Amino acid sequence: MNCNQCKNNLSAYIDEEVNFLNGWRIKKHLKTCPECKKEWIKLKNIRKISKVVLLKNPEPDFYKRLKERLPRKEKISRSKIVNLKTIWITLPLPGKAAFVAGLAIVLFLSLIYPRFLLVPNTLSIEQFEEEYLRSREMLSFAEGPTPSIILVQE
Amino acid sequence: MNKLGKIFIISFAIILFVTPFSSGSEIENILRASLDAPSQVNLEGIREEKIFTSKLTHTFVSKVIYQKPNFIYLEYINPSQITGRVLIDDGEKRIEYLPKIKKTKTLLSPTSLQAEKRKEKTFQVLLQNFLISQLSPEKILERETYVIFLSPKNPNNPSVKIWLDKETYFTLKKEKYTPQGKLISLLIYKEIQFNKSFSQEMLYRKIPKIPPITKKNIPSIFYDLEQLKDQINFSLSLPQCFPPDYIFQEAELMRDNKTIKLAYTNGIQIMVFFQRPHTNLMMQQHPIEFGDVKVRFREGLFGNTLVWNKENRTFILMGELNLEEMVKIAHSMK
Repeated sequence: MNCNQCKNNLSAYIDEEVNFLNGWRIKKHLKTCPECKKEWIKLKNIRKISKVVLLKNPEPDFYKRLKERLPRKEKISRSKIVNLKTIWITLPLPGKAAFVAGLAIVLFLSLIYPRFLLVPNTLSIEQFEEEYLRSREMLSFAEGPTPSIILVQE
Repeated sequence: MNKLGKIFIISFAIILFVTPFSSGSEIENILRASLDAPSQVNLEGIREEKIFTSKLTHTFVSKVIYQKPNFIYLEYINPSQITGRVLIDDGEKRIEYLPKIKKTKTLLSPTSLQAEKRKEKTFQVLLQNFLISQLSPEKILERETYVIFLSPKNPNNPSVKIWLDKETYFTLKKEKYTPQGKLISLLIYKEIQFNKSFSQEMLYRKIPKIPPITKKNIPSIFYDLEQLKDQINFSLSLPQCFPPDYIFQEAELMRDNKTIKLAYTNGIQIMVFFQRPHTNLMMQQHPIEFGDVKVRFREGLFGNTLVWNKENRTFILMGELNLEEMVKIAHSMK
């Protein structure tokens, strides 16, 4: 990254509006370039002061400048997508393979997991006892409606 | 008196001795009428049930309302842990409501047409396996009753004594004995008032919300073994040996479509046999080894349970059988 690129993005960098890769590049550049670092400290101080000072009557061109900054945000989010593409392209082959494998595992588990939910392999014996008692109530000549079922449930 | 007359008197005396108070078919008719009695009466009563074990006696008291043709209302008033359990039966479905845990369940009514057929089958088994005799009449709550005793042909089966109201054939008292003659359960009406009508709507109000019949709570469908084999796509294991006098009653494919329930009866007791894909069943009992089968055995108030795994399947057997009888059945599976 050169000084011009760095200075253009400094404001966004302070506002944490740059993507991870650009942020990392600016940080690296600031470590090696005292001029840009000076500019960065200056801008940072202005931000600090502007946070403290309450503007009762905004300056005449405040909203104009604000408007100007809004499309910049859009540009940044677009650039994020572009950067994702660049990350993918620049990613080494093992990284790509690990990403694809991870995605496949997530997909596989999401298909298999509901089957585990539908066919539980651990059950309580009480639900079978309940069924037995219902049959006992229904089939045996000697049994009427019995309190037995509730005894199992409680 | 001539010779023929003497033979006649002796034969008559023998018949009287064998069937103490009335003929077999008459008692059968009384018993059969008692099966229909709950759908022929309007009554309100307080019923007490006692279950005797070697250590404890469990007592349950409930308020019972029967309204013809097919309506039963039952509300437990004692013991405290089941107080308020409401059971409403409209002859097609039975709704159970447990206020404590706010749970409602819809089941097939035991008085439904499907269940009636099954009861008739059980009744035929009962006639095959038990000798029915009528004892001298007694009074229960100032009402005349028929007293009928069902003694098992096989000495390993229990016996039952029933007191049926002479006017309505409704069961006012019932006692069940072990093969050794020890009383194991008792059902008796402490209060009863016949010809008392209630508004069904008023009783339904006891249940907050009756769930609609959905796929989840649709009453079960019962099959015979051949029909069941057509319904499943896996092999069915059947016990080759079970206690004498038990016959296959019905098969049911449970809601998960993986568990099969087979029911057997001797007329008074039932034995239920479940089989499903290998399952870890949460049980406190430790496995016991019996030959090549590891089993887990649990004793219960209303029957015992035996669980074992074989060839990647889990089997659960429940009934009023002891450990040896159950293990014998487990070994006979094919």
